[in-house]
Amino acid sequence: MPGKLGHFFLLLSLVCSVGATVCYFLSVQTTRKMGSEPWQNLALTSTDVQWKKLARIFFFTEIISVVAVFVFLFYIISHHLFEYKYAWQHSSKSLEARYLLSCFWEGQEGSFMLWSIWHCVLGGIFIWKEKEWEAPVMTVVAFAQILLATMLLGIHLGDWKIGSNPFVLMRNSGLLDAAPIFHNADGTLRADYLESLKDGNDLNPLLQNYWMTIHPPVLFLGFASTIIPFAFAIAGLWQKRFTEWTKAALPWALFSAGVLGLGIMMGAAWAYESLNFGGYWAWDPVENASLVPWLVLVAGVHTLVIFRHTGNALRTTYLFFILAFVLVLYSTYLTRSGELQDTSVHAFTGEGITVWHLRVLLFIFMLPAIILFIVRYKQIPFVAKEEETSSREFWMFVGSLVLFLAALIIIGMTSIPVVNRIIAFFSGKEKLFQPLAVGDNVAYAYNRIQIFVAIILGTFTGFGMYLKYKSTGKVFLKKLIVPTIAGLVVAAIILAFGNINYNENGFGYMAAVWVAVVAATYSLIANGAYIFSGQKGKLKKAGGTIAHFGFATLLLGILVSSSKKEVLSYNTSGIFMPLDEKNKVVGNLGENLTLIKGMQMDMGKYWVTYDRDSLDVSKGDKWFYYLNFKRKDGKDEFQLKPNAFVNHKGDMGLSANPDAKHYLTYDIFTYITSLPTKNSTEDTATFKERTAAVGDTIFYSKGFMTLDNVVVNPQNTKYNFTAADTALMAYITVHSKEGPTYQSRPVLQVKNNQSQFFVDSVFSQNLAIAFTGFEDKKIKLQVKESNSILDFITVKAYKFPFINLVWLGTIIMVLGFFISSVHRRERKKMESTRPGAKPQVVSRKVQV
Amino acid sequence: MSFFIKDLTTEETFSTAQKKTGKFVVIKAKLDKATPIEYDAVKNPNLTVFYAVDNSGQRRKVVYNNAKLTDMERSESLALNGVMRGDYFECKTIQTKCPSKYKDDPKAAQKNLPTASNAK
Repeated sequence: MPGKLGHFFLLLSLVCSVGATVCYFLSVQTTRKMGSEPWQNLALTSTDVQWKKLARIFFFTEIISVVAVFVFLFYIISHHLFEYKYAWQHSSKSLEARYLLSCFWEGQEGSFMLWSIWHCVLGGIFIWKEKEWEAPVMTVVAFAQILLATMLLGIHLGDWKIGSNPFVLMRNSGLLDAAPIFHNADGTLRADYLESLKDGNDLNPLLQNYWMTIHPPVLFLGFASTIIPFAFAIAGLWQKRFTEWTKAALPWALFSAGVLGLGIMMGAAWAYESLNFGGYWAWDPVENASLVPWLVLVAGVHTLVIFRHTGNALRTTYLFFILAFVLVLYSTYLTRSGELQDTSVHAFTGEGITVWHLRVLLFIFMLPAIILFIVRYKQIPFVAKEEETSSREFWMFVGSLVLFLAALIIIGMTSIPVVNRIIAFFSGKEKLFQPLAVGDNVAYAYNRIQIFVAIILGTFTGFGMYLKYKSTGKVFLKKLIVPTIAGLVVAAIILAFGNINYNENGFGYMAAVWVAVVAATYSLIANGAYIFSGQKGKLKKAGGTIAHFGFATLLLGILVSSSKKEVLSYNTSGIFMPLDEKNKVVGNLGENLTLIKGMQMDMGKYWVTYDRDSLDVSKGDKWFYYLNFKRKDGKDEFQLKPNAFVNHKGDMGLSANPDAKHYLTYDIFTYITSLPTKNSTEDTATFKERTAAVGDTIFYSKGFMTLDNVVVNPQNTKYNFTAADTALMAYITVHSKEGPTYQSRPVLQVKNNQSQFFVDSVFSQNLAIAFTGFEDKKIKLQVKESNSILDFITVKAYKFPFINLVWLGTIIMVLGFFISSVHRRERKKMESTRPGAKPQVVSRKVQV
Repeated sequence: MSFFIKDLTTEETFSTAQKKTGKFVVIKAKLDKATPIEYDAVKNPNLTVFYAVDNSGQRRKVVYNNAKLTDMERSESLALNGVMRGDYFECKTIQTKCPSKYKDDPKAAQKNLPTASNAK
């Protein structure tokens, strides 16, 4: 029932979005026919206003239906209605309540819905606040809603399947067809088939992290909001009001850049906390795909600001805003079509929603937008005069171009699998061109190009704010001297004492890192100083400077934390050196270190002991491993609890989550790379019989043990024998060669004339000891040394210095965007209400 | 541009990679599940040895100087990034394609359905 209602609202939302699109479109078209400057026509009864009224009714119904769809799907998931495929596939009964929302965006359908919801929210606010631009912008938004709705349609037209319905039932999904237990002997579905579907498939354990509850909504708000600047640009081209939209668009573009930036970095925080990248960024295609639209959008924001102040760069602004949105769609295609399966750790396969559908989504926006841009290009006003090199806009423009080029390079490298497909498609045979791939060191391939982007942007953002639009006088240039010197001095101190010796990729790269550190430090100090010297501490107006200050902090954080990242778990214990068959050391020291339970291991500045493990009872298969870290100088001690799902929901293997100890200036970060597979290796070692009297010594390969005592019917926490039992316990002390001693307590019990023995193990010594009987006045012991009883974990551990700079920088930068957005909006209001303001921006108040 | 091209490499098979011994390449292959993966974390946690079959059907020994990837056994295919060294392939990084990562894949979902043995 909730499924049928849900699907009804899905269809309703499709119909409404079509209605809204058509009505808004007609509203714009009728306005255009009515004269040269019809938007100043205040007649309330004109056709365009009536179309707009109708369009609003459609769009509000659309909002209601999308919310209804969301509510119904959430009802299905939260009530564990496993009759529905979506609930079965993405949730389970043991899932904590706070992750129920995450189930939404694990599947393709849910994440498209999230996108659709944000369009509704943004659209609603837009209708409320931006009456002047409502009709053309909302035409674009409503059109996007049509396409998103078709993604969830789930209708078959012949061989074509359009969209994927999230409300599909298990029995209709085709999944049960091949599973015999759901069927009667004659092949029909059993009436009680739901009895076999008592629990769901659960949410991917990697996504069971609180970041996964908040990161996707923020990221999707970022993606969804890029449509607003895009739609403004389209509106300008469409209505031939080439310049008027820029003032209204700027706050929206700033907001979008802020949210998208925040969403991306939340994803980085999630990766840092729950993925085993060994860091927060891995140049994974999915990350790149969200970064690239942001870079282009930020470039667009800068060119728009240039236009607002000088009249330059309008054409570029059009291009950047159009491309930012098109790149969001392209990213959607890349990550969801399955093109990137081989190069990304977390791309979808493209099952459910077809690849062609995603291609349509991309081209249906890209082609008309690009064509419109080209056709109207010559009519877009531009300033023929060259900018002066001492002007602010000159450097802003160059900086924007650098951002744009950086974005092009990243998306180019990410798209290599697509390029291969296209080449194969046109040449007909794959072997004509050798398929290309990003080589040796993926991160380095990106970093060594982006490091120059960092240097340029660091430097530009450093002095940019001190320049004036149009032309900067010498007086202003003088203001630059103090912060520049201060920046250079601080950077020199960081380099001299910071020990940034990142030598892995040669001296040239290390030198580039140094220069980038200087640039970032300079920008940090220059922008920090400008808030006070240039903006006199008025934070409300200083949004741009704050964003640059945050960006510089982020940049410095990235540079320092990645170039000073230390591997703690280097395998230097001697026993585990990487040797080849001829016992020669091969390659680098590995980064994995095996910790044996109870044994103290050497890890850089720390002694680390794998103390114990415990099972998370509520989840059933999530294990926590307690590692005690002790600094060698004795000044600090702490415990880390990396965890892993072992054999989760029938999946073989483990899925591990890292744990980190946060300090102000660094993090200690560790995760499990391997666990022993219980009982999988044949235990070839056998028990060997030894006899001993109390006080005797028995040798084994790693030391010796002494039999201290034999006790009748012992009482302790493990055994609770009574007078009715006949049980004996041997007290054995094991002295290992390394120094530590261990206690072993094997037990022999005689019951009904049958003897039974309980083996005791000393894990760290690979020892299993059994007390099996008597011989003369001695006791018989069975001793086994083997590998399979060993309890150990293999981990990697890193020290990330100044990782907090990355997060702090992000927060400051995003705040800067928001402050700027609010400020621009207030300024727009003030200007438009001020008498005698520029005539073309008089907003038209339409009462509906 | 050459700065950029320098980082690109080509997809090869074991036999074409053999002719480029010492050059970094990418090979798409499948894990040979008949031979067990050798990994002993106690002896050396940074050495994994296994056999893989490439697209042309050739089977080679692969040495990976790292911990065994946790999802290797259930992988459908592997992208091996590394260098051919005589009779074995030395891997620097491996990308696995696993059914479990792609829950939208119906084949994978089907595997997770209860079967007669565990449906009680």
